[in-house]
Amino acid sequence: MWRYRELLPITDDNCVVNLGAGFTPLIRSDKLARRIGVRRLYIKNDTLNPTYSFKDRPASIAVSKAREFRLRIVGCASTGNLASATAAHAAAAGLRCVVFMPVSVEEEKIKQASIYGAEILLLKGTYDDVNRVAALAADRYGLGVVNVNLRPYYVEGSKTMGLEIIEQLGWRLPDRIIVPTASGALLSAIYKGIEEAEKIGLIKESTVAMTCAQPSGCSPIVEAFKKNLDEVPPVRSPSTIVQSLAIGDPGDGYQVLRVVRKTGGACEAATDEETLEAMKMLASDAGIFAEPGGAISIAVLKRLVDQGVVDRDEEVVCCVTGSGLKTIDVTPITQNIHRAEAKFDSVSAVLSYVAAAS
Amino acid sequence: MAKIKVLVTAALSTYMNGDREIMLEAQSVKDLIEKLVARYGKNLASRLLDENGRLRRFINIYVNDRNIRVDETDVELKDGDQVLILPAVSGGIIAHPFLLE
Repeated sequence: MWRYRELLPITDDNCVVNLGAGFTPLIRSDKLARRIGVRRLYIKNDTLNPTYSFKDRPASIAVSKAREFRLRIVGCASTGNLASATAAHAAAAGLRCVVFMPVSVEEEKIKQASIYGAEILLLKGTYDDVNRVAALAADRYGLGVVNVNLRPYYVEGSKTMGLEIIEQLGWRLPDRIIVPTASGALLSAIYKGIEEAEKIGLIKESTVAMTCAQPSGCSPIVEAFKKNLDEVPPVRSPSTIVQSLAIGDPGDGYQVLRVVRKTGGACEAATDEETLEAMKMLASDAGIFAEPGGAISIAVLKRLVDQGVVDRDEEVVCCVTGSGLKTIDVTPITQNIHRAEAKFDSVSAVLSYVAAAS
Repeated sequence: MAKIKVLVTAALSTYMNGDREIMLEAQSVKDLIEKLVARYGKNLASRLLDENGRLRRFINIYVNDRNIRVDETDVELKDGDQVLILPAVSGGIIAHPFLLE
């Protein structure tokens, strides 16, 4: 992402903390496009980041900025992925790190964040409770909390995903970009990147239908969109396996509504079952293993195509934001695991079935 | 009237003579905001309220850890309640009231 250095708000290059976040592959999947029923489908594969989620983008810039501000301790309020991204960048920068997470976060994400040496605070409450505590802690202890008091810099990291999509498509936009949405920062930041690309002449116009994907067990922005509200009433008790998108009171929800309406996009929710099905499709059709919070963009695309909201002639980019290795426990069990004796006869049954089907 | 502990962060304390923790007597959140404005003046008022006197979108108010929405400011306060006022820091698209100066 640091290839866009000139568009990022850092003044001292010596403070940049670069673990190689961003410039992830944009993969065209004709097989998945055919299955879902759109003309062309690209996956922006952000599972391939230093800590395996798109959160390395905002963490890279926010921790760099913290260095510039001479802060000694950074931190974050996290639904799981930001924890590791912040902890890893803090470790590389030589800063102390304090991570605030709900106790319900997946074990994989807790272990991953802890290995980088951060202090991990698991709080009994929702993400919104965690965010409130982190905001007060930032104030009272002078912490640089990347998504609270460093947030204006943090979102600048996420805009690089929009710039990359444009560059990787050959300096143009697709018809639609579908973005997994929790706080709403990523969707609004991607669009900010697109608007900036237009402003400096990298593209002629910023025409793209920005589309928000949320889990039905926590979809405050989708509800507000469908009820034609300007504000986003919070969901007090999120209930979904898509932990990384379980933010009931989205800080940038208002901006998402504004961007989606301005660009003629859509907001839609997918059930947990649809999201798990999308995880399977993404892996078995495109070779990409995503966590539910990443695969939900595919689930929502399928829904919107089935509803006729997305035209079958569209070219769509689905952002896939985090790796499936982070949520092994919820990975759907498939029927293709066979345990056998280490003898040829024991494997023949399976092999003849595979040979016959090919 | 209920005795309330009010907590704010640096962004607001700038307009409250540096105070980050104060005790106030108030009947409701609405009443508490009015008393804060009466005590600290119009600089604080413009941070908390829009031109129509409504709470700004970026201001989050918590009563004992529960987020109080704009339409819930009549909620009655009790002795010993703790009120936290947090201005959200948001992304870089719309000018934030704290960055307007």
